[in-house]
Amino acid sequence: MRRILVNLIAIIAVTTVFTFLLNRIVDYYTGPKLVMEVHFNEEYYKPGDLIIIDVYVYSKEFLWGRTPLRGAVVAIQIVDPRGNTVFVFRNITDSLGRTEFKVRADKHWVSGEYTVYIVTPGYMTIKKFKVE
Amino acid sequence: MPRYIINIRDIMLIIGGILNIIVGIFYGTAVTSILEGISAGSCFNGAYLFKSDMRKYGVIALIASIIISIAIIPNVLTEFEGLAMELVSIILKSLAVIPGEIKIIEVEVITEEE
Repeated sequence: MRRILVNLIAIIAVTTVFTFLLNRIVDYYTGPKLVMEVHFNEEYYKPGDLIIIDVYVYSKEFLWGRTPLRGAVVAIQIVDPRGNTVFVFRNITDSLGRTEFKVRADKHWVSGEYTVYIVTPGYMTIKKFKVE
Repeated sequence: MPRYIINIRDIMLIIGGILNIIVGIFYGTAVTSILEGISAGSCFNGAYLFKSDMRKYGVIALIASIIISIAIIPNVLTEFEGLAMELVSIILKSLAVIPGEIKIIEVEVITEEE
């Protein structure tokens, strides 16, 4: 009975470790090397509101976790619902991998869903926010 | 002539476990890969317990495996192939839990005599 119990635990342990290690290897070598997080200060804005976009850039670790990427160039482009570019800027990340973009929602901005393209070499992400 | 007994239930469980491992490696995050590993391990444990004539414990291991697989589904919803494999794995494991004598084929191997 004890031998069976040891075998059962061994089977679960080996399978779990095998799956986890291969998952990490596949993830590290196939996916993008960067991880980008984007935070907005609000979900909806009105004309005159200040839009603050926080961008965090991290590089992936081999087995687990991530480290902040310092000195990464991050460019941002905001496109209105009609497809016109309303804001373009670029910044460099600090030692925490963070950079901040501030833009005021102009009174001439049309209401609707705005698309934000955030780009750093090797990675791009698209986010959306609404102006009412 | 040698006779081999192929147990379909074992094959179903092995395929189910391997599908869990594949989903864990290619379609999940680090956390889901650990859960998939545990699910696959429970599935193999179920097969091992059935072989050791401990059907009751084998069923418990398989039900645990099925529950973990179902819990993982929301994490692979966006990956069509991953979701399909996970569902096939759940179906295979569920079929193996159902009692019945669906499972044994005897294969006779004919060898040429010198």
